[in-house]
Amino acid sequence: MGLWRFDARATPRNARDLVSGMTGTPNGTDQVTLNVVYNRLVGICKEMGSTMMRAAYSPIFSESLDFSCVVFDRDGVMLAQSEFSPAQVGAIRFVVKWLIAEIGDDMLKPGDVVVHNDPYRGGVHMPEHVVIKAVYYEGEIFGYVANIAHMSEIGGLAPGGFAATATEVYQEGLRLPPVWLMRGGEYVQDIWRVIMTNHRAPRYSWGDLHAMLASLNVAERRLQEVLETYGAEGLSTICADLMAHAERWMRVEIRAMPDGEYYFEDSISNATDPPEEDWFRLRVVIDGDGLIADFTGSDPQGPHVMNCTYGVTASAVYNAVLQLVDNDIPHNDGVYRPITVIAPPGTVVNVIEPGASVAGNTETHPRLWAIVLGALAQAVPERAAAATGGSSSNFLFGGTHPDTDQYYVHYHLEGVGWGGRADADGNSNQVVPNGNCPNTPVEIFETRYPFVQTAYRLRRDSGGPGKHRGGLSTERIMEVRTDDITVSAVFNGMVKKPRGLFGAGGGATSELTVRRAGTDEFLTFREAFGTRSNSRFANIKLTHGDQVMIRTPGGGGYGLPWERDVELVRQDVEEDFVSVAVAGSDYGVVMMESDGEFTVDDRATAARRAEMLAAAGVGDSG
Amino acid sequence: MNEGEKKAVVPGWRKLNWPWWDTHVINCQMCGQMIPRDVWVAEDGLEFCTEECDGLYRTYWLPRYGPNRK
Repeated sequence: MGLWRFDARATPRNARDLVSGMTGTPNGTDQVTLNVVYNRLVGICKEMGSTMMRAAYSPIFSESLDFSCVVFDRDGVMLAQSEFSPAQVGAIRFVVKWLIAEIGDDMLKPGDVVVHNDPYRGGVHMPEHVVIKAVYYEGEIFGYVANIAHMSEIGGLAPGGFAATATEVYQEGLRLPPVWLMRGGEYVQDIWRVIMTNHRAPRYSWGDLHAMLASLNVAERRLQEVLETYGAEGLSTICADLMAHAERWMRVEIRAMPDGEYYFEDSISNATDPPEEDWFRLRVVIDGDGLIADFTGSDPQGPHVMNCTYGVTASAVYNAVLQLVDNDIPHNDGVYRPITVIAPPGTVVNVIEPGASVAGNTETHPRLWAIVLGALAQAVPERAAAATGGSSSNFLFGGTHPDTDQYYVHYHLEGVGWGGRADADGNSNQVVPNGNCPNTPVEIFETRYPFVQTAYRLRRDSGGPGKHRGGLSTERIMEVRTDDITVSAVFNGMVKKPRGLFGAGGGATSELTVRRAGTDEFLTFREAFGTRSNSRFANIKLTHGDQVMIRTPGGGGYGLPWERDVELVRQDVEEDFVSVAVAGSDYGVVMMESDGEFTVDDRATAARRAEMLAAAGVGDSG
Repeated sequence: MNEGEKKAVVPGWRKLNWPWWDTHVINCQMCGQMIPRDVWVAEDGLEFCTEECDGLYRTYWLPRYGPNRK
């Protein structure tokens, strides 16, 4: 990790900005020490993650790595984090600071661990549990180690922690305000018994909570080792310089963007008949070296699960801005200080009690991310990307396993197409940008759960057409191999296409359908079961032989499709990424197939593209 | 922001002092962040998480969205 490398893309308005931004530290820590300490702190976070992965019981931890591990100072200021899940990067900055402020550090003793999953206290949604432990050095608290992780089952109205049809937080599962999980290294048995009683799969909760505790213990030891090297005062001084350095670096990056106010708005839709929409409105203000992301004017919070907590909205803003700046900026509290997020309470971007919010973290975050990029694309078009598929395509299920008689649950997520960008096509089959989570491999899936995968492939024509094509999404078909399984789902992108940028087309919409055993046709869940929505439903019973087909949304394209290199379109057709028909209709490339070989009709292509050019300005932007 | 909620007070920091069984939270009236313990009460009675948010309210929010916005 090159802390001092500087990206040429960041072109400050004058050299003085660069020099003042990148040289010297307030306390005079040299660059080598900064690098060494930063990487030791990040190394602690990564080792926490490895511990989680190896010790967990649930695939959501061991395979999907849906957690973040962080080190804080005594005031709850974030010193370092590992890059597991961007959904949590912004939230955890607040959640620990607020937790410490609320309970008071004088209430903590060595060996104590505090847990909470309250979405109104900085969390991102109810399944994400934060655990913190104070780290002592020479009898004093130096700082905290913390872990925020998505537990696979938390009770509530549907198995899998996603109460898709919830209208209030009380339906979403067991909500814990800050409570002691451990005191002096001993179990607080009352709270463990409450948790084990309310979760459907307590064996998994037991194992996963212990994986979180183990990660804290590892981090505590490692941070104490760093303290042995530098002492508490020395490490605090170095960390202050690290944060000052990160803050100045981010300010240099923001200063390189043109001053101005950039407005963008978009919505998410519920696939009801007619569709229901919630609108998000954003004004980004760049003024010198500061950036304000102001969501004033967004819709009031709704009686559904798409509302965002403050932590989600902040994470989405930070996540988007970090996509546009140098990758090597240290991720500590300093990097976020130049960014102000305004999220009015009681709206879809800052839910208040008793609003539900479980899908704000998975579905609305990527939409907010795309909205921030949509606004900033006006300032730095060469850095922004078109919208991603923007749906984790959450598919939840649970039941009693026919082989073990044990209750099981699983939170399944899928990859989507990412948006095209100025210099490249969008990535295909990649989890939403807030996730960073691999999904569960087919082998693990089939070993642990009563589903058999009959198809898993890229979706042809799902990437939005553009000079740089949107990434392709996927299609998966799973067949039920048990007599009784309960499924729920929360999808986005089923009504509106993920947006293209600068005249490009949108990505394909998502689909979720079911073919009942003994029938030939895949139907929507509304057609098959009478659900109110095709994209949000809970507690549908499936049985042996039923098949579920998940088609995730594709990424939006970037730039005019008829400017895409003809050879690239030919290769797309050859790879079965794009059909011959779409090559002609959307890209203006007329092709012929003979014995599996695809050739371009140059004359017809030139004529077709000339027609499209004449109609320039007409493009499906989703 | 609810203009009708304003009342003149001496600005300063106040400590939230709720009973142990009361677990509700309040939010900053500018940025929306949770206020965990200490609240900055402005002269017009609005509650902010920091003095900076009080300043942001007067220099950024009011000129754009307040009753006398341009």
